[in-house]
Amino acid sequence: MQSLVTDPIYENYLAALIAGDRAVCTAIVQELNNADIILKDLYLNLFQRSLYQVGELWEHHRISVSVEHLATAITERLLTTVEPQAFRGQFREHSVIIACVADEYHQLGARMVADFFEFHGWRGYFLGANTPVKDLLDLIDKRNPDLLALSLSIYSNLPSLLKALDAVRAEYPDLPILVGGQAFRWGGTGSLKKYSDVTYISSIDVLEQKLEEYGDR
Amino acid sequence: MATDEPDHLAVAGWRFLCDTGNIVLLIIDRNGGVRFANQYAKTLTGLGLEGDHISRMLLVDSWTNPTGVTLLEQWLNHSSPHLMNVRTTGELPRTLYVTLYPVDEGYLFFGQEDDAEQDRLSRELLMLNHELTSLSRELNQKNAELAQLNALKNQFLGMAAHDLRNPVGVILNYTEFLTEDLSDHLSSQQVHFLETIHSSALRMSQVINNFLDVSIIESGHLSLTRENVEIADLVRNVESLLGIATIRRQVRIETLLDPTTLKLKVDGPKIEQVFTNILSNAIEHSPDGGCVTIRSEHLHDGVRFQVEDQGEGIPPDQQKRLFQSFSGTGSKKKSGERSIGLGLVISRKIVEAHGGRMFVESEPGKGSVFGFILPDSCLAEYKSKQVMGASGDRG
Repeated sequence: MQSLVTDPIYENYLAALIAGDRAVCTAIVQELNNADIILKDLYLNLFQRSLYQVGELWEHHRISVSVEHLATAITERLLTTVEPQAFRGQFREHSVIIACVADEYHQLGARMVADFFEFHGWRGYFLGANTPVKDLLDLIDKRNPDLLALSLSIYSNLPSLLKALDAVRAEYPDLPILVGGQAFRWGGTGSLKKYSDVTYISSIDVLEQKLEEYGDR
Repeated sequence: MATDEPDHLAVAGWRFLCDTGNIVLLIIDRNGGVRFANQYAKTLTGLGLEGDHISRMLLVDSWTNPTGVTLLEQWLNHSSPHLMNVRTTGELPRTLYVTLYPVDEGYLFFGQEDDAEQDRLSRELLMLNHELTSLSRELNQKNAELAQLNALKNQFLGMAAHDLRNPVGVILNYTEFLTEDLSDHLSSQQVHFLETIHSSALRMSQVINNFLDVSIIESGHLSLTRENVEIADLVRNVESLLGIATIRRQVRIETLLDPTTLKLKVDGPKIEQVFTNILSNAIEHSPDGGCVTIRSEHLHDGVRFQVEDQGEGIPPDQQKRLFQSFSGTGSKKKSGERSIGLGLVISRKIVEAHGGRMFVESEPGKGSVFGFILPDSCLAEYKSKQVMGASGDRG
């Protein structure tokens, strides 16, 4: 299916995002919403693509930290305007806890994944940035989810992820765990192999395939 | 004196930049090796820096761009502003605006943060925070409205169920009367019609009672009247109540109760309702001629009661939803009737009100086990009463 996010729309949006122009970004998203854009198209072809580009510009010292923070904040605000589409589904058969591990402050990707689960009929419990292991274990105990999804954006936080995996595996040996995030561009998937039923999810398409295994609606 | 003053000022200025100023000052060689770093640079990055390469200050491996040009070469070949995003001891990275001055065998490096940009970010974030606060307020309003609507729904459900109960009761009474007193004057087909009306009205009456229970539970008015209960008597009552269904389905009931679990302080009629629900479900889902087992066990921290059947079992993805209201898990019984699936929801609420929990263990093709665990306190309270009673008798 062809994306509603054409190149000119994308370029306009990216320029506004980097300029910190929230009004223009909001208008573009509103227009796409009015055109009944589906969540996946919006998330992947506008939000994810632009944020990856902002990340690259930041990594190569082309934009400042402030610009990157502002772009993230604007995107996060825009998510609230389109999330009702994610929560429109039927009764939630399965549940998932989505969290960023301790010391991980980049939560936007994980939140989009949480919305994506909701869109596919899952009940998503989103714990957000910097989740201490104890809080994670407490929520697993309380919610008894079908899946746990952990996000890692910064490669140097890999030890925090492994610590969380150790703790969860010790308490819940059978809970399937999905792991993903931008950090894995730099490697690290090898260190996941020692854990049983921990799956690295490289993209939303791979996630969709995984969800189909659970009888996606 | 006048000729000495500039040197004196330069020394004072240099000392300020080295020791106190909030500006990153480095002396780097032509390859980016750091020969000198001021105090602010060391404090900001948490690194000694001197002897290191300047790229150590970077958060990610970004010393070269995708075409292999180093950051230093980019700065030298392009006009300012030059940006450098560095890691800091405070977790969050920061941006330095860099100015380079060529000196002998290297460069004098000045890096400063842009206060105006920080101010703008703060303002924007503040505005976003205000917006989110407003959204949160709207959300709270909507939640309150939804809670009111839900209360109205419960009220309506309760009123409708209450008003339907009497006419259904009349139908039940009169069909019973007609069946018993006029069956000699009716054809077998007419008797069959009456029996169908009676069984349908009975089913409707059960549904109405469930609606009433749900409306009471959902509105938070479920109250318990705890009393000393002989569980063996209670189970016998339930078995007797379901006797017709047991005969109709040709199901055998086996009761294996642990003698240490038989005296509890609970709300007897409500616990009986739970037993009735799970036992009738087990009977309805058993194969013809199957066996249903009622079992109890004293655990280390509670008392477990369960009913096991040899039915078709329940897929794992449906098990969680069984105890949720209107979850669409209403099942079709062996008799062909459809259940709206409220019985287990009501049972869960009753058990939870006692401080216990319901459970289900099932595997497709291997039958199901439904049950509940009550806290040890239900047993202990009863025991303590017994002891007190016994003591009183002796006195």
